[in-house]
Amino acid sequence: MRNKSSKPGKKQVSRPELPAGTFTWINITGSLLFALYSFWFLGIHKADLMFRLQELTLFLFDKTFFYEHLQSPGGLLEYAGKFLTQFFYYPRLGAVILTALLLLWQWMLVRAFDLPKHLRLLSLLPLSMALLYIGMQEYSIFVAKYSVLSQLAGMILAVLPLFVARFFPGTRARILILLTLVLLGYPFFGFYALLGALLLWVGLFAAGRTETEHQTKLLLRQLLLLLFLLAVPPLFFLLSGQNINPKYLFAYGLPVYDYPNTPWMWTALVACSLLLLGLALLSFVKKDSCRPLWWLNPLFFVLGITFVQAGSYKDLNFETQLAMERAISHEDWDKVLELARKPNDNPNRLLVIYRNIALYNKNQLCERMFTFPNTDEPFHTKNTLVSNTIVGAPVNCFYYGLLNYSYRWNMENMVLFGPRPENLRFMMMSALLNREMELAGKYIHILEKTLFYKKWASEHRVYLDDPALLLENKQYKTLLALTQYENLLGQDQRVIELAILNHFCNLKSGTDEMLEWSMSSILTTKSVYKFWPMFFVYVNKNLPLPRHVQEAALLLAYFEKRDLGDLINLMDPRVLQRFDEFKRLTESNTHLTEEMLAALVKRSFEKSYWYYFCFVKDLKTN
Amino acid sequence: MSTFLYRLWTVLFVAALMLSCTQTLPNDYAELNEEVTISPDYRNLIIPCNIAPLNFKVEVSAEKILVGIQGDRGGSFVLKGPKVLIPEKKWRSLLEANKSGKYSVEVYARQNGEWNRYQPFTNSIAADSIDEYLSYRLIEPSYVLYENLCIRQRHLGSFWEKDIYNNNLVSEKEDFQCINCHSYQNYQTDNMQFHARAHHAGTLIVCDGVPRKVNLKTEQLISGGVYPAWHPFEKLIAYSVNNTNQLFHSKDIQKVEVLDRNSDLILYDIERNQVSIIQNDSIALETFPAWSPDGKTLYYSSARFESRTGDRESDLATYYQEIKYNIFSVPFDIEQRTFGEPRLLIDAESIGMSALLPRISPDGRYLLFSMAEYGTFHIWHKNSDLYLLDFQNNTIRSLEEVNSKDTESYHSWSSNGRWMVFSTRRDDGSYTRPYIAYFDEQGRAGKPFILPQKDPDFHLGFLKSYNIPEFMKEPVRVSPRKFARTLKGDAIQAVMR
Repeated sequence: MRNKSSKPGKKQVSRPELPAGTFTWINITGSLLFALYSFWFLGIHKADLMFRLQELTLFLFDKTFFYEHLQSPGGLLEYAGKFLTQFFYYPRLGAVILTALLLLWQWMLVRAFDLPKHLRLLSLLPLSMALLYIGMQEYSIFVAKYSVLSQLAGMILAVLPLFVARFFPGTRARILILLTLVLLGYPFFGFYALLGALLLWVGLFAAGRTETEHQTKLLLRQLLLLLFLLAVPPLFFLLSGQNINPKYLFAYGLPVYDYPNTPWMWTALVACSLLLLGLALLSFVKKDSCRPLWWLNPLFFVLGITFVQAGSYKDLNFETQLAMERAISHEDWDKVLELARKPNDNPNRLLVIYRNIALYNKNQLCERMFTFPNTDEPFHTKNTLVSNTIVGAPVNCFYYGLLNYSYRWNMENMVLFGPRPENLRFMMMSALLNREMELAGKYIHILEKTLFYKKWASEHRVYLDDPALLLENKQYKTLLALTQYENLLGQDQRVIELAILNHFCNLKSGTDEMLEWSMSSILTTKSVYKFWPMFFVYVNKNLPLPRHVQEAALLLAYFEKRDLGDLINLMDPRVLQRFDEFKRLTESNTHLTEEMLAALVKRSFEKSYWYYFCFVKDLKTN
Repeated sequence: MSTFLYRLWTVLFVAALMLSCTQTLPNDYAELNEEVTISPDYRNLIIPCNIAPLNFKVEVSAEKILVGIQGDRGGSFVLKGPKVLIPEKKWRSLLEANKSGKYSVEVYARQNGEWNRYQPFTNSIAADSIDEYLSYRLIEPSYVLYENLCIRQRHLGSFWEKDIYNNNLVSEKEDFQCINCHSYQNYQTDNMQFHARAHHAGTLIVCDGVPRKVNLKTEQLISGGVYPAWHPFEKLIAYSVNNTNQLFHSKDIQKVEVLDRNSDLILYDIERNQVSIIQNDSIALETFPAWSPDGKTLYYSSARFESRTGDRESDLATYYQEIKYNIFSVPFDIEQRTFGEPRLLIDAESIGMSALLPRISPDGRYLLFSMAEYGTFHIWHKNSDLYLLDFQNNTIRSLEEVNSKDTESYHSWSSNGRWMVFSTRRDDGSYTRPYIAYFDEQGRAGKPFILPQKDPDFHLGFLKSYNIPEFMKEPVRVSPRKFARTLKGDAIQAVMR
């Protein structure tokens, strides 16, 4: 018998056989390397992102919380996603759990799609898409309604029926699994139940073609199954009592309300779904029809990692913000300042605010705030819901002692995005400091149902019984000192940075703790007419003059031709000397345009209030 | 033989199961001279004979807790604590057997290996039933933003609860819908209404069971209809129209001040689709209409405010504590559909107070209202309390047996006038909860109790407020989807009479 692969006249070349077990070793190595990469990606590289995600995702061990997630299709996926997210309180713990889950998913994929050894690492591509989806997360996380990991839960679930069907090879059993999945799965898993059913449907189709089943009968069966799959959601809508918006009937379980103006955020989800369908379609192809190429598996591995690395969101301000917010949640002000010192010429307003809060807590606000860049880089996102107020107000109002504002913006966030540990924490603390003890107790009660905030919340019970103990906590004592101002009834202050600046600028009196904030607000807003009254508060209280206050006094006295007299003796000689240098530089270059002069002055005096006052203008905030 | 063994085994199994569920109270215990703390506080109440089980949690530390509940005319059972979850069937039997009587609750706690019994407490079961349903809007005690809102109905004899309408049905990515001000004609639901704002805005009016969407805003009005009041039997709805502003306290824990820049009163004739003006004094702020049970009198609140500087909005913010509402009544000719001259009924301003939300009892004898030191939106005023005007002897008193140190505000009478439900923030100062209180023929109220829930801790963990609690005799039968379809459609434009 003639060998099909040989042709008359062609010399046969025999290729050397690969050593036994080669593919096995490649596959195991690939999976292990991927696991290491996943751990590094989630637990180290994106640790700040994952920590932040868990601060923005509430999971309660509570029956009512569970039942709430049954109110619409896909709710159980949300529940699962939130459950997984909470472990990123310790990012490495979360990374271990999630990596294990990904490996389990890989194992299911291999079994479900019956991947041959030489294609086994094709299973890493859907895993890569899951990691990519996480890696692509940007500022939208602050305004998202759906948990990121709910999508991973959905993808895993979509493969589960096909995996289970492997244990029931008969056609009837598989049809039963499909029907059950759609009927019972859609109410809980929404889109992903339908995706799973579709994968099964493809598998059935492929199996039917290879069996001796009559083709017309096969086509008819497949058509009926498809119609059933498409009919169940509308039927469910008509018959069930769940609150379902018909517009999103086939999309429940997907983050349909998230990512406005940012359609590329769907890339990884779409790619993953297509990959799964592609894997299902492989069942139409004889897997042994192509020669096993040893380099395919490594290629899949490399492709997967490359997609994740290349597609992940990279933004210095975003990464710095996440790291700062993580440090703030531990009140690690040194860490915040360390992050602020990293080279970054264009921080956004939120980074500036966080940095100033850290400087204040290290008693260095008016000494150093203008030694850092003061810019107004916008958020690099097209999501129009993201603003300084929505993202930052819940946290930073609290540290300014604006407890009502803090409570308000945490409540508004809760209204828009659902309750989050971050909001509950700050509402609890605001209520506590406002002496609203029953209200604080309510939030403590809720936080005690979480895994990782339980202890912190319980420790605060002691304040409910004895509010005087608040003064023994350094942070609370300082914050209480910041609340000693007269009540003001005012309009809605939607631009929170301006509200904060106006509040401190307009204070007529206050505690020593409020002085630095007041002065820094005056310096920031260049409220010249408010400067001298505040300056003399320092003088009259015999408080040391911070550097920037000295700089401002010298500059304004120079502009106003005011004789400082004995006040000069309160100034640091180095500041005086530098000011002379500044004057000489500016006076000898009056022929330059403003831009040229700014560039010249910036070289030597960027880290001074003089540069800020004269050349930093029109900063925008929102 | 095998059949016999099978049956024997089944009987033994079931018996064991029943025995394991049956608790008995300890015979050997020490009597404590103190009252037990339970949450919610369901002690020493007068309760309706058809209310849902008053599940509660015993707030004591103990190794084991047993609770004995016994009716003085029969019916008793023992339950385990700390969460005491009363089976609905047993509860209903207890109430039925002890109507006009009492039941007592004994709490036993095993502490340090020994049983202690706290002082028992009793609750009275009124012969008067309460209306079967209560509806309310669930909303966060928020400020400006809103998202997921629903109006729900709850069966008061059980824990059954269902959406009347949920804005999820029509909300889209960036388009959300506010819903508010549900209201019924005479406790029936074939005639009812609520408003939708922003996305698919309009007033949804159900008339004889048929929903329609109406736009009540005409050129002559400052807004569409806001606070509604159904005429008790005519197809008429009185509304206030309001231009509302919200201001924020920077430090005061009352947090928010809601003010009307302008407000007037209108009457909407459903059958004729006509709007007419009841009151629209440019200086007066008329709001919160309410009808007498005979439909011949309309009550409302009104405050006079003249701008001092010409900038009315700014003056309102500066002098908000001087805004004091009084309660007026105005006669109504049902045939002619005309109003007479308003008459000052409660001069709250003269005592430095502001009276709002007049609601007349079904027998027409009492006027229940809320009063605080100033302003119009008393849910944000901690000193707001409920007051009662007795028309028979023209006396006004504070309902001390019901009021708390915190806010009492929106209130409704049951159809038989024996129960009232009102909104209060007494539990934590922020989240509004509905409390129910008995009201006897002598005009005295019983101790109020919170709406019962299956889980006694429910209210503690729930992050929404109950807004506008209203009694109904029957459930709303129009489905949420039908409401959604109607709201997505075009609105009928109301015309000025």
